[in-house]
Amino acid sequence: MASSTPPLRQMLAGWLARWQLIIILYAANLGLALLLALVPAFGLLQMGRLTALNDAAQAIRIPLIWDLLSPLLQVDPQGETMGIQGAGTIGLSFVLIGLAAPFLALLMASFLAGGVYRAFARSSTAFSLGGFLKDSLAWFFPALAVYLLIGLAAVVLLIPSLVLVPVLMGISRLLGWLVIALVVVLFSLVLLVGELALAAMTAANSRSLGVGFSGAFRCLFKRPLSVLAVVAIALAAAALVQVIFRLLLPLAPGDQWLLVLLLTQLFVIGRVAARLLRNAGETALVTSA
Amino acid sequence: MGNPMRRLLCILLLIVTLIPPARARAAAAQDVASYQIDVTLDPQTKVLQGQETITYTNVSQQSIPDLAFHLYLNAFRSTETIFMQESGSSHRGFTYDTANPGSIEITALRTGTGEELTLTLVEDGTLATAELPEPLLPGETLTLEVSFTARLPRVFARTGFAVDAAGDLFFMVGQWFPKLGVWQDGDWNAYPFHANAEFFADFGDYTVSIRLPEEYVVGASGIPTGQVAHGDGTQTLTFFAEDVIDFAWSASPNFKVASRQVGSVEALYLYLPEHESTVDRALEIIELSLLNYGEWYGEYPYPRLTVIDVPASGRAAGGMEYPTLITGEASGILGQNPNAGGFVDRNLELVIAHEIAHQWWQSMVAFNEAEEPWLDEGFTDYSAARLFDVIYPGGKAFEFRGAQVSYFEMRRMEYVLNPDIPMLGRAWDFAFLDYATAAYSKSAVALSTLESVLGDELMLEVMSTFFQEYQYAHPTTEDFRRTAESVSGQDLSWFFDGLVETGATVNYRVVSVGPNQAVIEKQGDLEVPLTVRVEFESGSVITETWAADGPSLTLTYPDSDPIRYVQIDPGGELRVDLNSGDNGMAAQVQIPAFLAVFVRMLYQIQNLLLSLGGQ
Repeated sequence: MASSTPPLRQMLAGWLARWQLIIILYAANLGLALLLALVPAFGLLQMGRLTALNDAAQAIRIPLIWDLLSPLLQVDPQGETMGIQGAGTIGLSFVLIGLAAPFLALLMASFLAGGVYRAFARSSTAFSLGGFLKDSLAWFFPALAVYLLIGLAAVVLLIPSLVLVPVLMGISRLLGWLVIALVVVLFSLVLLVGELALAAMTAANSRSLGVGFSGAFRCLFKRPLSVLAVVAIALAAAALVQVIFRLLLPLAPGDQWLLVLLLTQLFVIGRVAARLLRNAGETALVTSA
Repeated sequence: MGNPMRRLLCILLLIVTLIPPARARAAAAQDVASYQIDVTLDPQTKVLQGQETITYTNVSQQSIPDLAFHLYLNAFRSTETIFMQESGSSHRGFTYDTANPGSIEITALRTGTGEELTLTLVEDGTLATAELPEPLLPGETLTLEVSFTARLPRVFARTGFAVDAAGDLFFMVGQWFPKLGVWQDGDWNAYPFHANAEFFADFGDYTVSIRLPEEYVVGASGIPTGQVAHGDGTQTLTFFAEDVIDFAWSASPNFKVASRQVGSVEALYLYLPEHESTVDRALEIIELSLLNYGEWYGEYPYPRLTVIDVPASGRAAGGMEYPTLITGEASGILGQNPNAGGFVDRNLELVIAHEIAHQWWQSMVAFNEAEEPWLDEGFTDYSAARLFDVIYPGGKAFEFRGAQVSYFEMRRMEYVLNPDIPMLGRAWDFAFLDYATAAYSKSAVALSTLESVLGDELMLEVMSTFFQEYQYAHPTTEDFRRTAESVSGQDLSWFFDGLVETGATVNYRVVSVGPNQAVIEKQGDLEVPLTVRVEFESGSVITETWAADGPSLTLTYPDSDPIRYVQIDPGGELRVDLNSGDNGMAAQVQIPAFLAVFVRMLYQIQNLLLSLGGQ
């Protein structure tokens, strides 16, 4: 599918036309996060009468977290438990969340990808939630494969750099930072190619990874400047969201939970919107290539 | 007395009053072991050729039949020494270079009257003894002539050579000459060099002449008293250090010198060009340390303090104390930038503040670092952490993305993971992590808890009295106990019998809060007195004290308003309490606080999911 509209205009038009996606992705994120937060919330409630909770509400202090969690690491010489009821639940659930989050995020991103890219590819038609879910399901496995490849690339790039960068930093800090920059650029490129492949597959109404990656590379080689422009705009949008949030958050005192809730959720929505702008741009690139 | 005589006397008195003393000295040490050393450094071979004259006075009531010399550099002779076996050839994260070992040999030993003495090496050769032809009687002084050859290792355990960023040699020369042990209670208090152990020596005067190539800049203990260029590319620099227990020096062709006058003290910072950006920070913390410790404990009595910067390849020489000379550590976790990537890293300040505190608690009050390491490291770390609280109030010593940790909190976090270690013990009786907890973390935490119980002013009175009583002496834990209990007028068994001598621990917690009654419980054997704040619905407050001499305390207020909350240790200063999270309890669940924390927790999970999902 090829479009004669310039990619940037198409990117913006698609993004504006598919505002429903912001709500869907935000709701999915919030729903999964609430599910994960349930167990630690129960632990938190058990600690509800401790005045330490008031201190934590003002500001999270590392020593307080240490105190709450360190009994889990201690072998108590008196044979008594020095832990606080609820703290163990929170500590354990954070460990489990840390372990489960990469898989859950992968599954969620894989499920939503088909619906998102298909919706942008068909942005001239009316949006339907049923169609979105159907497309999400249809492209779940190809998207999962692409994200697994991206994840594998991240591991391949990250693990050697964890060893290499400290060694290089010892020789020359400049060299160390250059390697970090190189890793970031390489990973961004892998992410971009993977996402362009997803966009190409859905735009071509195909579930073939070959179709996807050939479309991605065709796009990269045929319209490198357009790709750069889309990436730059997407990065600028993400940075803008971060900057605005960093400026606003300090204005909300820790114990003003309603204000903090409002600001943090607006930030999450902002991040989702910025990501969708990137996805809209990727779809525009592959359809115009 | 006629008028002219009276006038002359007045003039003399005026002159005496107006002329400042050459050095402001609080007290003078009794010189026991003084050293006059002529040493030549050959940078190519890293070998020191030395000739020392030791003047030793028997200040004890017993006759001394023999001598005991420390030969510390022999600890780095091979991987088979006691030091290397105990440390696994690794010292605080730095590995021993077997290709560049260190060693020291006494090549000649005779008395001042020319009698040869026979040296016997003890165990691994880090200690040696020599019989005297005749016992040294109480009050007698002996002169010894010692020739020695020492080889410096690649920097390890704070001494040796390294190659700096410019490719030139850097030398940190510590524990480098044959040094007498301390005669105490009818025997030599001297041990082979153990991995965790540091040093113990008598006070004396040191005159040290160092011959080395002309391009080298030298920083040393004491003050410079002479410089001679020999015309062959070498120079001899002479230094004099009075009333000290040791002498160390450092040399580099690339040292630059920054200085600041702090009262009567000239503070020098000898830094390498690659660390130029650290000069202002280093001088600032040097000044703050000298001023604050001086105000708290007693004035720094020496005319100069030298701080040596070490190259990145010689970091194993960093963070060490010698009399009137310390080594710093210019590179923190983030390198030289103290504020990058959301971190505020004050490692440079921490190391300098800590090592300068050692001038009081090791160099002037000369504890036995081998037998009671908690005294010198604990007093020092407590002092440095206290200084950080003054300089960076509100716990802002170290920051990471808005999360702040004070020096004391950092030490406490280490302590709570390993609290049941007695502070008292010989250095080598501890595994390294236990040693670090006992000597540094627990000791700093314990002393700060003592301060919270006694109050700031009384604690400072205890510490300054102790310093004044034992400046230029070798006090022990028992001496500190006597002073602390005498000055405070309190029985401090909880501190000395509980924290110092045993691994007793404590956790105080509020067990229940009812409308008119609250129960507080003590877990553990330690009995630290504490205060409890009780706030009622009307806003009125009662502060209770508890000696913690029982397992629990029940507070009952039958005629009062309902209790709103109960808070143990409201100032948060009882740092030995293992868990501060359970120190306060409200009568009701605090819904707004719960929601505030939950909202942030939810946001963090959402953010994590977004980031992992490629957003």
